[in-house]
Amino acid sequence: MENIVIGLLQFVILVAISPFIKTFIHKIKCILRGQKGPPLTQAYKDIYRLFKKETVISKDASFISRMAPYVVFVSTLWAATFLPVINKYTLLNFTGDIIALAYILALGVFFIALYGMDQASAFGGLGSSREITIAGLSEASFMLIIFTFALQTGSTNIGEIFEKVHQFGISHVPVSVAFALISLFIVSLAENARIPFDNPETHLELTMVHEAMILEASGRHLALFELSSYIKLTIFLTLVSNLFFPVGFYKDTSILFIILGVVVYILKMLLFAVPVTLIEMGMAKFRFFRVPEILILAFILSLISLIIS
Amino acid sequence: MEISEKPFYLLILILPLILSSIPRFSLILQSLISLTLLIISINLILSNTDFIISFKSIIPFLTFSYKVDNLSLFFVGLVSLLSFASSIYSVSYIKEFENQKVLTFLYNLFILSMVMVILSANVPTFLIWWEIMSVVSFLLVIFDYKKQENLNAGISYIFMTHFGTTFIIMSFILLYIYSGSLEFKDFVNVSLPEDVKFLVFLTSLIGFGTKAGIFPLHFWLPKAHPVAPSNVSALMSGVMIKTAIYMLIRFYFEFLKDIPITFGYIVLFVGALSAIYGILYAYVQTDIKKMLAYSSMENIGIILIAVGLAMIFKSSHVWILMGISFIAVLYHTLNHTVFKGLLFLGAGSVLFKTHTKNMEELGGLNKFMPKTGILFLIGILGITALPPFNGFVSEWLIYQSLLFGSKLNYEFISFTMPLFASVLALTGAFALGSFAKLYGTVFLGTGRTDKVKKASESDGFMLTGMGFLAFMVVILGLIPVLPVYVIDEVLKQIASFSIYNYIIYKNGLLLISTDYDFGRISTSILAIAGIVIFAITYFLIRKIGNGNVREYETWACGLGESNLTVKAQYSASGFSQPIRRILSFVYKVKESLSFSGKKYFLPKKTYKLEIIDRIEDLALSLTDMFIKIVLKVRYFIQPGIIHVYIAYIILTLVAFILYVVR
Repeated sequence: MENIVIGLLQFVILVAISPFIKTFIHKIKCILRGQKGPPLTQAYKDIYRLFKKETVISKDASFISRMAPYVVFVSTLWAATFLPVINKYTLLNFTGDIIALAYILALGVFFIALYGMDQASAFGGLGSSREITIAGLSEASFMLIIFTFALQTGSTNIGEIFEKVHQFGISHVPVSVAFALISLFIVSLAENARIPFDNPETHLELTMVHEAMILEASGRHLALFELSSYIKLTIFLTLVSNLFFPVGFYKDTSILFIILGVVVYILKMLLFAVPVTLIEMGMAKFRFFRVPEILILAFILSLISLIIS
Repeated sequence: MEISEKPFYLLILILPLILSSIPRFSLILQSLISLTLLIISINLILSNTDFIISFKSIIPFLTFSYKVDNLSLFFVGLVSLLSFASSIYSVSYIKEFENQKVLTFLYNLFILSMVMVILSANVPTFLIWWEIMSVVSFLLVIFDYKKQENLNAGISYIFMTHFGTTFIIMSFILLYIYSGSLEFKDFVNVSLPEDVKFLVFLTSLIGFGTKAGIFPLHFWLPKAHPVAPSNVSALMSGVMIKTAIYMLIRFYFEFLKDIPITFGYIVLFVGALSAIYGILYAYVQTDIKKMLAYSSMENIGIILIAVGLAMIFKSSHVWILMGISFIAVLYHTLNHTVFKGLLFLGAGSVLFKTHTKNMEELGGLNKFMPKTGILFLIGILGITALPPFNGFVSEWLIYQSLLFGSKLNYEFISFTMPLFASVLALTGAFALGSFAKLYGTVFLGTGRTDKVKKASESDGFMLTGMGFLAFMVVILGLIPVLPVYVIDEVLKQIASFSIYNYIIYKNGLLLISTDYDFGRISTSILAIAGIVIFAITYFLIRKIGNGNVREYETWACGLGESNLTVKAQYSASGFSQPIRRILSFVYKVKESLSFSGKKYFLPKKTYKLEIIDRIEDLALSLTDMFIKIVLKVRYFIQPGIIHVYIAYIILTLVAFILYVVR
């Protein structure tokens, strides 16, 4: 019973802070640009406002348009149900496989790509084609990183992996992890449509990827898409922070440690959100056909990390 | 065990064949018999069957014998599973064709020959049925013989299949020399010298690999499979290429004992190459059925990866791991039969209604045939290995086996295993892309030509056939314990141990890889969690959110419906263009843009894009070179000059005279 409560708590925390993380990144960017930026609760308001709005569906749309937002949302929440945040006991710990995580996120990508093509709009197809290309090319490095950690810890269960990593502690992190970190970071940027792969802030027709697919979405459908993209970003940040900064993941289940865990977790998330903003500030979006080069870099880095680990 | 009693009731199998003159009745009968056969074979597997039936013929040494054991029954079950669905489907589908009686006859004979190939237990029986299967499928490939494309595909197919049969016969001869018998049961445990063992391995891999469509012997497959009638394409891709997998399992797990670890590694390597090559070409196809055929090549590659792993584990005597990869082999074979059959039947429905299989001419079919659209989507979710559907479970088992492979005590193998895993991941990602493209261009958006407007929902027979397979996709994904239990019985006979208890946990709710801590998934609970999450989300949105829906036209930068053409949608070749450009070294692309009409004032432009299979290109140029050399040699002997022929006559005369005089 206690475990279920902890699992539910982790799930709720992950979902609840995801809009905050998104606004946080945006806020830092604004401050660095010398702008004032939105309040930190902006994303919550946005989502709420969108839920209140009427949904407009294209005349050319089929049942996919009505179904895809829910499938994308469910698939990201699926991942959230077994991703340990502060403790090994997640809701679906017994099926929390890291390979399954990769495929569950792929389910979301697949349906969002179908959604893009459903309204007979030129932009949607463009976005789907690019998104699928980027996601496909980053998949190989993601799997290598997964294998690196699975081999090190002797498990493909995320809970077990995190637990082992935290057991070794931060002082025993092998050097090879540095390469894996850079690689996973690149993959995370690619999967979450951030600069230099995609610019989440524009609707500039020629460069957009993720935004192009959901261009037709509105009302609650858009809210679901937005919320799932926030949660996906948080999932990747959680993965990165828990793998490479193994502090605050407690085996203990006492109230004090849980509260401490939550605080440390939020701090870690904010810490790992900073590099994302710095990269977005310091770099322009890459030309689409230069994207494979950086993804191949990620692949080679993960290969090096696998060899020397 | 041999039984003397001749089971003449098996003659019922040829009943549909005899009744082919009444096509629809015969097909219904065929589906009923297939269903019975499926149930019987599952029952026999569960009761652990192993016997041989022999028929002596008037020719000495020629005995027809059939082996009924768990492995052959599993594949017979596979054939009957798909033929059940596709026979129901065919009842409506054959209306498409003129000479239905011939088609039904060939179709029934094709199914019969596949069942018999699988049951064969000695070399002559096997080769006879193998040849019947090849020739009948050749006739089905060229069934629509008025199209030049089909004839070309047929010639390529019949040539390659005999190329393969040559190698199969070679490997049988080698086994015959060392065992002194033509019976399969005497091949088991025959002791071969190391080099002969390698030769048998190689010839069987080439021979059966040609049928299975492995890299680089695949190029007939994407030509031949798409041009056959769709119900036959489903059978060809779904089960005919699996007969080759079946024989490979017989060879590597029964006939050849103590195989070195390199054999397994070669199979693994070839499998990985086929998988990635197949899916890269599937990604750029614009013909629905051709794309599905390339995807069959990919799946054969994935199956071979698992076969290779099982062989590696077998030669390193790690039995539990061998069991896991063996289960992955048969599980994925079963899965591929189900979803590839479903997708080919779905493609057949599209072809039946719109008379085109070119993606560029289709679009928006979901509005005309929504049920077919949903069933097709389920098939796609299976084949792209998305949880919680069936492809995911078998691919997960393969990933786990690869991970275990890294733990073996061979430096090279353990280092390269993660690379194979990333190749598999890349394959999965591209499969996702190819099928998103397929579904997106065929079923979503709006129609690109008027052909779409004629489409209507498939009728009851077609929907039943596809619906059954879609049901299987879901069941095999959600309840992995059923197939694992059946496959475990097969494993018990092949390797005489069972791993059911190692990988099934908590009454089958959980699938684990040997150790609870190592990895575990539960698709059924994932599905339940998904439904619960969906229900909560839906309820909350209804409660707080706005439930109104308004229909409006798609936003197109201010262009109205009147001046917007359907061509503005992304096309299939446009969708795959990024990959085509990024991985341009894989493809051989011929592009051409031609102008017609007025030269400067709005000329009519025609853009042609042709993607040529590099291996096919290579094979064609090699045969070209070979023929040129032969012709050159012939030219020396037979130059067409009368003087030379007179010289031949005189020389012959002199030779004879010398011979006689001496």
